[in-house]
Amino acid sequence: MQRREFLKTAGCIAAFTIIPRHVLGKGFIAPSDQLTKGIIGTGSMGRGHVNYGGTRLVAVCDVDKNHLELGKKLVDGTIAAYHDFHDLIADKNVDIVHIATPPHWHGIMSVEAAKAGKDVWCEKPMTRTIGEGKRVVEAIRQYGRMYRLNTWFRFTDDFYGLGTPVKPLKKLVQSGLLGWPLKVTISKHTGFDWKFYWVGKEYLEPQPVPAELDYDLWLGPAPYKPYNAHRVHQTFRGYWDYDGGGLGDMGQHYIDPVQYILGKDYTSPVKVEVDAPQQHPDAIGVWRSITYTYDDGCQIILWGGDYGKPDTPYIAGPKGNVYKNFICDIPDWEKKLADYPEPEPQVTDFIESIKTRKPFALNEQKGFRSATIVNMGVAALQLNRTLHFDPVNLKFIADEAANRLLNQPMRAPWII
Amino acid sequence: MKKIQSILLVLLLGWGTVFAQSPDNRTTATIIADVLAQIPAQNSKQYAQQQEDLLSTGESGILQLAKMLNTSPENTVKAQYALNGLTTYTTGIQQEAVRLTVVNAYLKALDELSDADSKTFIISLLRIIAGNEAVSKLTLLLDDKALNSPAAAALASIKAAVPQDTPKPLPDNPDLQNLFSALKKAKPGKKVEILNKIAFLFDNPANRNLADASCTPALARLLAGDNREIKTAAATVLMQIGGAEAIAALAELLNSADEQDVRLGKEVLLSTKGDIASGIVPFIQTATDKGKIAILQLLSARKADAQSEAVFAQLNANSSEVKTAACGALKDVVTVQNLPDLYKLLEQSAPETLVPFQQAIVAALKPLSEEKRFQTVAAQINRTDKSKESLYYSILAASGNISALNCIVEKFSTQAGKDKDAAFRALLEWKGIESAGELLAIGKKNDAGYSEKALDRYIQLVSSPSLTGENRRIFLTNAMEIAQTDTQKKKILKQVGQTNSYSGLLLAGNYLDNPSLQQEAASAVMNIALNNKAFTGKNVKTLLEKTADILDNPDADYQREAIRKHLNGMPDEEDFVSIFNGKDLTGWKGLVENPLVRAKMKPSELAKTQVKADEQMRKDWKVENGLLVFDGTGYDNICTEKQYGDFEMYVDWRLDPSPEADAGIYLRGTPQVQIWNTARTDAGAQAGSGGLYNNQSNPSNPVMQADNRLGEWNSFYIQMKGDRVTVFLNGKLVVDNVILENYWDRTQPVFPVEQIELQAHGSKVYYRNIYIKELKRTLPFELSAQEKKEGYKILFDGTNMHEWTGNLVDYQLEDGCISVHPTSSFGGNLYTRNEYDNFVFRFEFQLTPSANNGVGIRAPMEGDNAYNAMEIQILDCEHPVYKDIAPYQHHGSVYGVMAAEHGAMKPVGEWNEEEIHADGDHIRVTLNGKVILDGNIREAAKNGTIDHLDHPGLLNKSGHIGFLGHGNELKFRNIRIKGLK
Repeated sequence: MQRREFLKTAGCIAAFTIIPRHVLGKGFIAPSDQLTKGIIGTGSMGRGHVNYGGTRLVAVCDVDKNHLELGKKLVDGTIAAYHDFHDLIADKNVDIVHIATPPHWHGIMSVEAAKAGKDVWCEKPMTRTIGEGKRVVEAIRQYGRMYRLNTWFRFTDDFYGLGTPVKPLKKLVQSGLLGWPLKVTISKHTGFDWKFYWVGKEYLEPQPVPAELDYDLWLGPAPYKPYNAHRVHQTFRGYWDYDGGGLGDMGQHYIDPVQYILGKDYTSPVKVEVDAPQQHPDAIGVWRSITYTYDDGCQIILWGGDYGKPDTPYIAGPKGNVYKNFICDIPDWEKKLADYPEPEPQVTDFIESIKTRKPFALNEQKGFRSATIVNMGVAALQLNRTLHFDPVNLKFIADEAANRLLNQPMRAPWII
Repeated sequence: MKKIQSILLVLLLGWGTVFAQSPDNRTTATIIADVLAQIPAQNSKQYAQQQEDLLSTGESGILQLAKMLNTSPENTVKAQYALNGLTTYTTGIQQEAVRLTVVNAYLKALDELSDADSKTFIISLLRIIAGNEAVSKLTLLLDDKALNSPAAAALASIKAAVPQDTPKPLPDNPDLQNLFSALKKAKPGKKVEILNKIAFLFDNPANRNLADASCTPALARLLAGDNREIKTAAATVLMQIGGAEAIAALAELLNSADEQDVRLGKEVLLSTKGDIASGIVPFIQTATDKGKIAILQLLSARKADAQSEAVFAQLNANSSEVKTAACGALKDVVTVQNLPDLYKLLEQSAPETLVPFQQAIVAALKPLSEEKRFQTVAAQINRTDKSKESLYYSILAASGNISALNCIVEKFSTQAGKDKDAAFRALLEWKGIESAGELLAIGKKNDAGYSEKALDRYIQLVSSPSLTGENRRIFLTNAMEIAQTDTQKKKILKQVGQTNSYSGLLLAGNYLDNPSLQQEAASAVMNIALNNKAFTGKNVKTLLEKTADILDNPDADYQREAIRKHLNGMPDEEDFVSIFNGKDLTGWKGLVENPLVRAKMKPSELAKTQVKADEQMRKDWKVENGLLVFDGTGYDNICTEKQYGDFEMYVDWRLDPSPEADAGIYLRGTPQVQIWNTARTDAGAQAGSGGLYNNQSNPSNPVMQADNRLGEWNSFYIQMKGDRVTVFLNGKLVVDNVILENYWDRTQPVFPVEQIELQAHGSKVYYRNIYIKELKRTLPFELSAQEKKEGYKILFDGTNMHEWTGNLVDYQLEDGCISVHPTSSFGGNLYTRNEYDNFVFRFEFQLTPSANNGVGIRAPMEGDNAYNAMEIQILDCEHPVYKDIAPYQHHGSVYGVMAAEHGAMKPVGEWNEEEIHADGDHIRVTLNGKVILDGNIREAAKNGTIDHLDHPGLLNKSGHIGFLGHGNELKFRNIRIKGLK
């Protein structure tokens, strides 16, 4: 059966079971039920969320009427369509809230969804500031929700340009065969692309807001700046108020698996250094390198654009190196590695996670820690200097300005 | 010089705190204009300098800057960069007084600016930098509708900071002991929830040491129950804890009759730490078939060679599935000791188990050396029946030993039928590049059974990223010549696109007009061109424009945009031109004598001799299949009709295999970039090709051997600028900016302009893809008529460094200048080859800010020439860092001995003319026409030198003239000298 037909049929059956599920109470879902989802933000990224299987789309929301119309057409038949995300979150028919808005909204929406008893499937980067990320973790825990961040390289079979799955890398690293501490290098030469076309324009002529867009609600908690088409939709990633450029877009994809590989899911680096041209306060530019150091000396080095060297190992340790395509220079490493256990199984199906209440492989805790790395980099770029970070108390050390970037005060009436 | 260095250090140490000084008395407006002209800073040094400059303008300067906001788009952007930089920089240096200056300027700006956008911007900066001092002003702004929101944000950030708010850490983890005791009492449904909580807690490995000895037995008991969810949850926690006791409990699951238990046991044991093999083997007899299979797979995963016996035993199991699992596990558990058994198994094997048994033998051989592996298998082949021989071919291939490859190749050519097929398969399985030659040969033969597969494998092997891009391009060119199908050609083009090779770009460009290949060709052209910004010029431009038209894929619009951007940024300049058309010898001529002899010949005589030489050329040099071939016996080079000065060149070459194979490329009529058979160790050929063979005082050997196998194509990239040559052989740098000496007359530098020659050296050689790009050439400096008359001699005319020795690495020939690029903190010295006693030394120099160098005269080529000879100082002494130096350190001084006068130096960046007149004890220095020093050194040092230091070399009679490096960048040019009697 074609997926679309399957969804149609499944939809008809499921329609009769909506009411009983909510009678059973929050958090308990009969395993036979098909879960439902609502998508906030039905631009091109959000519309892609209809394809994440195992659930049925019942509601969409967007502040752009054109996007909302496209969202309504994602499935045959009628679904709820909202302008205000609060309405989608409050919709009793929605089990899972998918958040595919620009990142400056992720925090508020995740927390609101958790409060309403919804499970959350959120786009990367998890949040635009470290403070908002922490708030999401607290809310998900407090309301006992399941959370999944929408990047997947820590558990799928192939890892972006690296030509290898993450699992054997994790196994090799945790075996200790490479020694410790490790240095992980990420650049175009390891097959990654920072998408530096997400740069902003330093001067934007104010333009009239198009009729279909509720610009005030699009901005939401972000500082008010006059409308220009380049700020929104396909190009918003080029502005600090909403995202972090190529680092914001791709950072969590590349860094999250590294956190997993290094076993750093419960901590953060203690230092971030940047080498970049001076950044504009509104429009994001490019950078040459960002280096993160953990308290045990492990490092993550991101090379931007054409920088970095082609023959650099992806993971370098005192006893051995791993290059792109899993070329390892430890003699007979396959045999040596066999003495060590496989990485532990993870819950990689969010539906299973929701039904069993076992946290998802990339849950709020782990997502927060990898998003924190992105946001540490963003802060260091904005301030153009080395920053020291306290991974327990989640603040920068002896740097008041950096700590003011932990939280971006929100435009009234928004709070998180 | 060292003295200055110590003063510099003192100055630099104080530098951060004395920012308020305005370096060179520029006005505030000038400082701001200077900074804005350079903004945004490209690196941290520039960034800090700009901010220090801006801070030096104080509150009024910052206010001035703020008032530029919203005056024009360009000003706004620059002011935004500057003010934001100022803000972030100031918060970083953590000096309260400076911070207050900036904040006060911003607060004033809020009063004086009129538009809301500018004010909003200033408030956003205050949010980062301001403290309590801004609260009252910001509070007032809360009533301003346009500024209320940013003001509230700034206040929120300021209030959060004062007093320092200590953020709460993430919530603590629940107490483990409580969880375990709750687990005991809990009802089944609750047990799962608690176990999941423990599992979540243990997800952080740091928490696992909280588990004490009582945990494992408690969990093991839960495994024995029959609640599926509890079992699963308990097994997960046991896996997390690991160790012998947990393994013993989990192993029981494999002995269960319940398939789900077996599946669970296998999954968790795979990820459990510890020796699982000895824990699970005891159950292999009693387990169900599913259990046996799981145990075999686990033994295989842990490569448990100590348990190989158990695996061998299961080869006789009743169940065919168990047998298959045992076969599959063999390769992971066998050792050399098992070889005799494995040979037997292989030779008696059913067809379906051949592969696992072969793999097992390969694995058992693995600990041996490649040679030993080959010998062991070869011995077994000799022992065994002829009919079984081919079973071992693929094992031979896996040995990695070159004799094994030769053996396989031989079998392929001598065997027939199934045995030949087995040899072919083994050849395909060979892992290294060594099989490439044979594969290509099979590919050429057009044998339907083998050719296509052989070529596929060849393409795969030569696409390995371990080869240089240039080598991949060479091998892919070979493949393209014989490829039959579009599928193969597409594969080749795809790989060509990864080579980053200029010749690869042109190769792909040839297929843009082929409708079935043009998409792949276009991608390749685009990839190479966009990845290599150095590839510029007409060819690249034309191909890219064509590519943009052709591209047809979902990303094509984005790609076209990228191409357009790339083309817009590309300088408009000449490109490489092909100097061999692949059809005939147009553009080439025969060799007449050498450049010196030719120069002396009368035109008529030269023309006559040239005709003869051209006749000889046509005998020796042929065009065959698009290649330029020397097939003669003599030594008559083929020469370009055109003469070249500075140029870049690509050329592919191939030696016909013969022991004496030899050739080369003459640059500007001068031998040569060497080409030879690296097996000629008696002649030193193991050094490799590419070296400047005839050099005597400069390196003649390449830095490494980068030759391909004899008989294979190779590629040169040669760059010649001035008298310096750089060579890449097959993508590897083998000659790095080395001077090419004049072989025909070693007393003079290499000719500035001459023909390029391909050398004939009595052996057959092929050339193809010959491209040359002429570079803009510096015209040599010439003496004025007056200087000529007076007897001046040129020491440096901008085209070569023939007269110089010493540090030829830091002192480079660049755009007609000697350009100093220090590689170490004190950049070494450059000396004249010859020694001079009394002379007039004239030169021009150009400084960078704060640059320091010096002219050593009558100097030995060692030691500190300021003392063991004398040094005429070169220094940007107008730079503020030198404001406190002693007069005898100023530019033009005889360092430490006689002080020079000020005021004749041109601003940094302009060229200065200097003359040093050294006649006995009398020294005169003239800078830009002004005499800045004129005196007698003997007199000056009579009562001890001014610096109170020993200058034992001050009165040297004669020595070299040297530029004495001090770790700074600067340039020299037009250097000439006249001896005095």
